[in-house]
Amino acid sequence: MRLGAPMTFDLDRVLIEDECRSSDLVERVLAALPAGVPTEFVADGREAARPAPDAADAFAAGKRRLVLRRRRGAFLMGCPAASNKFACCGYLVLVLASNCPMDCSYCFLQEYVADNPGLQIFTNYAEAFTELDRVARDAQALPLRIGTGELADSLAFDRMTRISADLVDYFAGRPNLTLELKTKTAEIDNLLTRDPKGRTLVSWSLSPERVFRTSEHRTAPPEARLGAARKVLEAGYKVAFHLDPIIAYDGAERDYARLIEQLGDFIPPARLSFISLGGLRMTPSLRKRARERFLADPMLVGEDVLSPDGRYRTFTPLRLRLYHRLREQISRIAPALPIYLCMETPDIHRRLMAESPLPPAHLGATLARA
Amino acid sequence: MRRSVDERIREWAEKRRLPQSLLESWRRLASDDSAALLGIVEALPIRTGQFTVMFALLEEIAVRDGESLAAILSRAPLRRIVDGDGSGPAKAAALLDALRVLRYPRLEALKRRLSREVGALGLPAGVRVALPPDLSSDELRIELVAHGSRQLAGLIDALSAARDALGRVADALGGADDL
Repeated sequence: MRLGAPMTFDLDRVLIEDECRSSDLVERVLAALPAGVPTEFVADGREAARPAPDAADAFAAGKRRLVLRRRRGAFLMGCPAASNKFACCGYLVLVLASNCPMDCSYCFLQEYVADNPGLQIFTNYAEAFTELDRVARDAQALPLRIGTGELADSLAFDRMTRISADLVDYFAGRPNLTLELKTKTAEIDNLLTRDPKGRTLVSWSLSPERVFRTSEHRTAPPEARLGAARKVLEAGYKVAFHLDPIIAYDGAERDYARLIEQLGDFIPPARLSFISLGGLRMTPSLRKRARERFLADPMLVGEDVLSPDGRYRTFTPLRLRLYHRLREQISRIAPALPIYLCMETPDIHRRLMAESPLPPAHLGATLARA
Repeated sequence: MRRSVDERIREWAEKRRLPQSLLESWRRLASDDSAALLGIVEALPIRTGQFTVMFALLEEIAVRDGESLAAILSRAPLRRIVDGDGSGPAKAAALLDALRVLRYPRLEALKRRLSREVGALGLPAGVRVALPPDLSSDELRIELVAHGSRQLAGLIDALSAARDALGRVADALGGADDL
């Protein structure tokens, strides 16, 4: 089984906020950096993360600049994709980093962090634990699922930061909190040194090989992600998958069916926690930006139309057809496995599941317990 | 002396007030592609708006199929339109329709099929069955417009008689069919 090459960075420079000079995290990152990357200190890391005015592709340039800085705002927030238009999953997001060294052509960060595309790691991440303590206390017994993989990949920086170990240890002692580490990497070495005590779930976004090759640049191959999933499962972690974005190219139905078979070969289906499904969706400006950056990507020119929510999506009958097929296929290998939809309306949920979606808090609790 | 392809492109663009950015995109194409596109606009009375749409559709088909614009424009269904009979404006419109079918093959096929199926029901004029635009949702809208209770009863009867067929259309919008 190949686990893929380790995560690599293509950094032009590292900028460290003055007040973080003595941070442990800065020390760890500097020690792990490849030789020869210039380092400089700056007064305000937020400015250092802004788009380079002279870069032809400011987003790509941002991925070559690592900023280590203090986070001023809250670490914990509701999922940025949540909306009362959608049947949501009650996911809470812990922002410990921003942007990602990988470069998926469809990634929403191209729009979401366009104004601050620098790779950012927040050195005062330990303050997040105070916020988590408060949330755990306020939620009382309600199980909460809290993930770090929304504005950054959960494990992409972990070889440098080793933050995952602190997180896993923290969550191991919190019976009503579940940590979700969401990734497209195979960076699991630090996880294998800890005992999650059933409180950490590692999830992989998974696409067919064809999508990986055309669109998921610098990520681990699907087989490597599955191999990493098996390893963390054996090490006591819960495991889940996000088939997201599902892209309806010609031959997608066959490829996704094969992917689910492959998933079942790697992971005993009864030990999966859940699978989420989400069709490719792009705001008009994200679609424009993605197409400008990835001129030759065939996955960006599918049969997408402007949907009532203002996003481009695969026209509905085809999108639903794929959802139906995937759901059937998943149910065949894992009949009791929770499946949920990401960023779809309650109507679409009812079409697919033949029942109304659970309220977000209830679904969130179900997934946290899964 | 014969004018070069580039001169002819500029001339056409100027006459049609083509946006500069689009002209530049055209001129950046490989020479076979830009010439093939010029061949089309010189053969048919393509309006500026039509050209903009055509250019975008061609570029997207080219990316998806890994083919050049020239190769796409030489496909038989498109050549038949360009070289066939009919008025220039009708051929220009037909060419755009054909490109839409190439760009959105499953969408266009389903749209046409469902429209045919709804049309074949022969519902009275007071019943309007509206498919979602570009099948961008799974919602089937049915509107009854009646003047008086007798007409309303007739429309409801007609709708009831079409219940199974309309149910199949509603299911197709929900992804029930092979595409």
